[in-house]
Amino acid sequence: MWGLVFAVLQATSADLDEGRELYRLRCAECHGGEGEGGRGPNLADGVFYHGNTDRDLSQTIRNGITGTEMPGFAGSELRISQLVAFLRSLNRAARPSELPGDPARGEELFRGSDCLSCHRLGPEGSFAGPDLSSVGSRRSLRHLRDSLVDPSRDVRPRYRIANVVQVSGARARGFLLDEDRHTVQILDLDGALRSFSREELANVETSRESLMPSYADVFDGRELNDLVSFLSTRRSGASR
Amino acid sequence: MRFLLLLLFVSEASAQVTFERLKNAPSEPGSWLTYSGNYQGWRFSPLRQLTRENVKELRLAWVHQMRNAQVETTPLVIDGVMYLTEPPNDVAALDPETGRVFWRYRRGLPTDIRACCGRVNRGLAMYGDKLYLGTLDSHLLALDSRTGDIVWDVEVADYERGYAITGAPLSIKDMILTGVAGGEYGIRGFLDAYDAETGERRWRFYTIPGPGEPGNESWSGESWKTGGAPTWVTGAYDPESNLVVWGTGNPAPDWNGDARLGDNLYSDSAIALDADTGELRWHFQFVPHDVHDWDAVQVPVLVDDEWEGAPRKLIYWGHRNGFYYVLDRMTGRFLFGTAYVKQTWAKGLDENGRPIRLPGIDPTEGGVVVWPSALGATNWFSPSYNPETGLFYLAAWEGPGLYVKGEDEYRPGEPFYGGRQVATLEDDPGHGVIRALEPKSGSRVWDLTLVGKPMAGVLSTASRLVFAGSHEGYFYALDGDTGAELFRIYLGGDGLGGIGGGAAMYAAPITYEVKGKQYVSMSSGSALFTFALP
Repeated sequence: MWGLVFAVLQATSADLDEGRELYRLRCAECHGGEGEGGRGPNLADGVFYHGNTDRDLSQTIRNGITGTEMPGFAGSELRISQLVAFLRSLNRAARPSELPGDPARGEELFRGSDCLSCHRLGPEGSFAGPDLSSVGSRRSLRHLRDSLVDPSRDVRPRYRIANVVQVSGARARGFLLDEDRHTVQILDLDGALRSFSREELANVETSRESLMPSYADVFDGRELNDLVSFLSTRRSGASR
Repeated sequence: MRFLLLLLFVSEASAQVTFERLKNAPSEPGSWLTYSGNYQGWRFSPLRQLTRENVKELRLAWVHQMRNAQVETTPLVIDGVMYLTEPPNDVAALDPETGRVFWRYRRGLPTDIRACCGRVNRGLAMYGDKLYLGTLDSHLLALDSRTGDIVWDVEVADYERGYAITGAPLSIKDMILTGVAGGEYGIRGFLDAYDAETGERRWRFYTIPGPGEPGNESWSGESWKTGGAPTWVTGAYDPESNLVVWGTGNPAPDWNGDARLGDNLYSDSAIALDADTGELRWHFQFVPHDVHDWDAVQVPVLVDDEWEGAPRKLIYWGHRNGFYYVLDRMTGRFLFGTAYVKQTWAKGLDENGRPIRLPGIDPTEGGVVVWPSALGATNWFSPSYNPETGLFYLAAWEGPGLYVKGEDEYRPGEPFYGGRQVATLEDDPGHGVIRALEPKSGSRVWDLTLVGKPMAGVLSTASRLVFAGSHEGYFYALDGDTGAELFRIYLGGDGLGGIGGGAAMYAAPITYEVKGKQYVSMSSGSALFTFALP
């Protein structure tokens, strides 16, 4: 551990360059080119949800985060310390992200709309959309806003829709959870988990279109900012 | 009106477990609704498709692989979905016909959890459309059964003080009951009930009475505060009398009782609580002032049968201390008891069921050898009661153990053993056995003698079959009347550590039916194996 800390403290500009390049290859797709966040959370503002020491960051990078889309990175200690050094350089430069709107007004909008008929928020809500209970620690402000305005822009594989037609003519529609050569698994829109043998299926069509409609014309810009701000405050415990 | 009207997702079509369904579990034999299959703790299935004639034709249907070994889980099978826990605290929903995974929940755990005997979990409870999971960091979680999303997450106790949850919760009415582990860390044990909808605690029963409560005087000094008596194995429930019957674990420290003089109530006891209030109706202590770690963490088996010519509500209990007991379920009164394995610590039981101890059995600094060993004549692994054969089946150990007394000062969250034990002696290793007892006399009907000592539970069916597993990794189907081996397959998985010194099987089998086909599932190593006829 001390070796690692030492390595980070002693990071040279060459190490930073290596870290930046590694970041571009491995991290930027989700966390944004400058750590501003995207599908994954902002890494530039110095707020981390799984520990904020260099050791914590190294472990998170190495092991990934259980229960999220964050995979582990099987790199050497040196490579990981270069990544950590690069993240720290971002942190030094950045200020905490400011919310673009009023979370309290956003919550009113959220509760006054039909969001909970699909999404879960802690003990409330339903099963048909992603759980938003701690969405603020996983998604950037920009990604949240994009998801409200253009929900089909980034549909996670878990939320792709399958239309299943059985040989018997019976139809089922739901989220495609998994499939292989022999079977198809869905969560149908009534909430039943169902597995089909391919032999009993006449057709399976999948769609990358989100079931969620666009809210671009439903809310004005300020309201969207309020909603995004509310969602961004839905977080698990963070440390800076 | 600027809001879009969306599809409204209704949940009526998804699985809904009601109290009525749980009470009437035998009326839907294709399901496996609770840890023990029914509230009465029988681990018995009314299914009859697998018979003594055809069971030899069993074939592997599918395998479910997990990240870790020491799988102690009992899967639930409800409305066409199998739900199971994977060590340490993950959950998966599977298609019970193919094993294909619908979803997985993975829980991150602190690195410093206190689990004396493995990072294990024994299963889930279900109520409504939610699954309930107890965790090694002593939280109780409600998960959406359709997605695995967390609905609520409450802290049951502070894991840093030695609490952990390894047992499957039990759903009763609109409550979720959970016990806790930690008898090796000097916890003060309890049994909790939570509101299934909100996670709010309804009641807590401390298994060690506080000052001013009856039983507190059975602990010398302040020892009640750190006396253990955990509740780490799922109990049973009698809907008719609204009585929860649960076993409690050892007093702490395990092998040195000098600082906790007295009977140490309610350690090593059967406790019966009012399900609505958690109030104690009665208790029966199997081992007063235990210094051998003989927890009463067996699944209580509740049976209505004749006793001395009259119908009676009974409890059958094959205990870790080597004795088999029959208790009156309404009063806790001792009716009968006899040793079911070789034991060298008691002359017998007196008229109240209290053991008549022999001299020279308490642990010493140099060590004393006593039968059975500290891991017991049996342990947490489920027994089975079969109303068709009328027999009580259990996995048991015949063998001595070494008990060594030591000193331990209580420090929160640190091991608090007061000595050590050796459960298998090199010169006299003993052996394991799957044993059938006549439940009213405790007399032995048959044995399947094993070399290693099993840690797997037992299942029996209406077609007079018994399914059991061995230490080495063999899965057996036996004739429930004679113990004759009808089917055997080696599932391997040994040498993977755990308290059994590398035992392969820690779980108990279940059986269920999908689309008219009966399946039987058993875990070994780090996988769940499911079998059916071709």
